[in-house]
Amino acid sequence: MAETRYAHPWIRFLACLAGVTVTFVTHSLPLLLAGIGGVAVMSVIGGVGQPFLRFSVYIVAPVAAALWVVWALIVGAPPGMPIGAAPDAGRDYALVVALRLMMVGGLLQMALLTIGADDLPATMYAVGLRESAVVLAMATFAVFPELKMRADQIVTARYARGLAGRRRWISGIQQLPYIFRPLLVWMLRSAIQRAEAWQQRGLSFRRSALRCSWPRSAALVVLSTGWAALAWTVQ
Amino acid sequence: MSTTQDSPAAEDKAFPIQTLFLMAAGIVFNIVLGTVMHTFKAPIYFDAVGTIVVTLLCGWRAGALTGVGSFLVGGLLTNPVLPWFSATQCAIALYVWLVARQGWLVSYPKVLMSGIGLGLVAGIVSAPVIVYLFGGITGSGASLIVAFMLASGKSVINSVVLSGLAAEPLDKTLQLLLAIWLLKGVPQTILQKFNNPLLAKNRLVSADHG
Repeated sequence: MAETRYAHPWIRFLACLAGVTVTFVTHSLPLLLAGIGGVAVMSVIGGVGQPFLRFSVYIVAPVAAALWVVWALIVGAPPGMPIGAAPDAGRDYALVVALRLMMVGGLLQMALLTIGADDLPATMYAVGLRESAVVLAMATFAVFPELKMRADQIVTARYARGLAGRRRWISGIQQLPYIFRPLLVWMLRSAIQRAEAWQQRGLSFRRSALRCSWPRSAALVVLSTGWAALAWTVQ
Repeated sequence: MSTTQDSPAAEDKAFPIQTLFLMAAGIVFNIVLGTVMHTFKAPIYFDAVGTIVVTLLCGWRAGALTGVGSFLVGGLLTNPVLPWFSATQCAIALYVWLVARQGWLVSYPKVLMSGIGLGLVAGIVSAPVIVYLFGGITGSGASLIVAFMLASGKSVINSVVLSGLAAEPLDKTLQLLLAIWLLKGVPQTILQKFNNPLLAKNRLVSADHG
């Protein structure tokens, strides 16, 4: 039986759903900030602090800046109010949207990125997904490095044959259109070959039960319920 | 993964094993192309080419799952907001299947017209997510159009829909053209193994073998 230090997948999913629902229902800036603080702490504890930080800096921050420019400066009011009527309210609206974005992304990262690669098949079975879904997920992560290797092979072959000029980043970009077709042909051919090998060998994934951490599951239930209750109170 | 003598192969009643492996490749294709185009900050995304290819080879359900899967995996690897746009991928798969059934991908001019329609559909389906999750502003080039329309007094939803209708047709037309161009370059012996009548109807395989 697969052992895990994590909460049960269904509890994880429902807690994420509750968190997302509360995020969209509330308009309270302090509550959202508190929620993000909690998400950040739990992300660090769960080992996904860096992805959350990257998401916040590279995706949320530019969107937040654009939102502020549009709603606080250009429109000068939140939706539904006359243009220029309330720049401060427009700024607050931009901030609420950015914080919601950060919350939603952080919750999804915590719910999914904390699942270890070894636990993924058992987790998928635990939530009721079929073997085909497990095959699809495993095949997807297996194809990634192979696709990259194949693309590198194609580019290297083109350089070796003198079809690509000198090896610089700009010539690498110019090779993109010449990579797509061979890559697609390789994709189709490898899908056919893998399927034939799978059928000939009668392969399947071992269906193992998932042993979850019930203290962590209980803690997750308490946290998500507590935050939902707090949001209800503040509203 | 383990081999078990007493368990049958993973033949699913919904999808054959070959389709599953093709879907996996389509998911990766979407993510890689989307990531490459995102690097250039261009107003085109190229994140549905795999969806279109899988739809034409294996049907709209496989294509839709490919699109949804690519946004789920992309959400894990790059941008956790992507899964919210899964409905757009489903709409793309369904639309491509419908136009392919009518044979509207036979020639490049027809592909062009179908691509414009695809852009309109994608723009409309994406609009609610952009409005309610992003407040109308995603930070992309289309956001400039949205800002202009907001400043002129239009509502958020109207601004987002109109900017989507302006920007999406270019991206989706290019994606559809790329997908068809890619499929036309695949050897017939490989395409014939997928045995989808849509391929023959749109002259992607010779009619004798479609």
